[in-house]
Amino acid sequence: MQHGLLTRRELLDRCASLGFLTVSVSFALPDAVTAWAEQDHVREATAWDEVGPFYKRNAPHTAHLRGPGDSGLPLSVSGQVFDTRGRALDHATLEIWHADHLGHYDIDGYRYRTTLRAERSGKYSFDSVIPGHYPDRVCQHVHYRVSAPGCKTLVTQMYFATDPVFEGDPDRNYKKDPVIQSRDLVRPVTIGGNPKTMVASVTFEIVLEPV
Amino acid sequence: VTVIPRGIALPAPSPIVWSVVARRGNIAAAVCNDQQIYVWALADGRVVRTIDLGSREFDMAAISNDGELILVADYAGGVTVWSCSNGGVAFEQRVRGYLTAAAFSRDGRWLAIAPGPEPLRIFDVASNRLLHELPGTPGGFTALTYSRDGALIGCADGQSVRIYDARTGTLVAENNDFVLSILAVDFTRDGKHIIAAGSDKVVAVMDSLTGKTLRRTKRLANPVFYLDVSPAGTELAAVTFKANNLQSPAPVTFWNVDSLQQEPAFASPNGVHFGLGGWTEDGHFLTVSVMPSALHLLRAR
Repeated sequence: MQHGLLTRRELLDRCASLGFLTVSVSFALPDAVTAWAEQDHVREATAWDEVGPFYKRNAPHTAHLRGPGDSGLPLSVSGQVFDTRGRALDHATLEIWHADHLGHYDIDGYRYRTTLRAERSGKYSFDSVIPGHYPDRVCQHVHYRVSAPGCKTLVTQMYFATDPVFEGDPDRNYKKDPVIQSRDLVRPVTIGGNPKTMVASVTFEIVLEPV
Repeated sequence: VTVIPRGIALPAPSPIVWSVVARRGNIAAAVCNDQQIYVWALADGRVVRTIDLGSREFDMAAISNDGELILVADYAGGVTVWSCSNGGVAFEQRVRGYLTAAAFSRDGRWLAIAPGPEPLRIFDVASNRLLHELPGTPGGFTALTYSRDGALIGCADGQSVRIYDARTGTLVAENNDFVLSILAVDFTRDGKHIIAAGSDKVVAVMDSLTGKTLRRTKRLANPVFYLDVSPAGTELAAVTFKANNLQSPAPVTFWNVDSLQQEPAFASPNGVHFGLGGWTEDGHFLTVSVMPSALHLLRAR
């Protein structure tokens, strides 16, 4: 149940019990309710990924992870958080962490770490730099831990279609990093600005499963 | 077998990807680039078994204390346990995703496997029967361990250490004192305490029944990837790594379990391949160095 409303299944069950929903004889009521409820799941849940050795809780709330003079290609990430019924999750919390442009994680401080609260319509965004390759991992990646009321917490990672590991064809090569559970985690990159102020932009939408 | 300073070298026919050593000190095994598992008898260094992995993409391995059972998991969700003595498949499961952690009970009867965020499953190995499912964790478990009597199972993830009754599957205690990912857990010999460490660079001793932190070491120079309490229960070993490179070894650090007084550390001349050695039942701590053409087992204690 969300915000005091009945779920689709609860609503259909109640309608059936009160005689406001009838089903033809060729179609059993439980099957009808299940099929109808499945229509609510309009989006696939985002695939999980490992939490890894460098998760750190209590990261500061900032959308600006890139500091003045930071090396590495500037990165702008934006997206929305939904549930599998397609509803935007305004209250989602996103914990995000990644390595610097050389592939080093800051475990003594909070560099390239943040805790974001999704805005209206579940939107979020942050600025950073494209992470380097960590020596023990195949691909460049950004870690996410996303939680929202009524949904299962998701730990996942976002990858870049421009990563040399994919040899320009992530459709074919995304499994070169065997921990990548879904091609959808590899995101296209858009380059903007001018040669002196170039920014790589990536969109990453996240879909959480209900509890 | 070739005797080298402080240990032995086991020639490998192909570059080694991963290796394990049985606590009994009788068996070592390595997964190699040629998709074979080579199993050595440490008494004479002979290869006593070769297991073909076919086209499976190797994820992780574990070995029972007596060296009889070797688990290999692949990234397609396959989990197989082979018998070292007869080469047959002793246990087989398929999971969604892949394993992030696995542990045999000390007597090899039970096996705990953690398939990503899915429930942690405890099996009776001989019958392949599922005994319990424990709640999973987002991002998967990072470490699992059994108490020596098999009564408790300890699990770690990015945020917490949890202790379950292994026979009923009920949660006994939880500790949330760590700030960074926890990567290693082990119980003290009597099971009264669980010890944990990870990227916080601190080793903490907790009460197994309450989860309360009782004492902690000073901050170390490096994160801890593997913890192991000695057979006598008196010494604790922590295999550390350099944070900038998980594959780059740092010294193995030792403490007295009761006082957490630090003892002399050991740095392998060749580099220690973390997490793949450990205490043997005769009281030696073996570190493993993966060389291009051989597995070096060195006595750090």
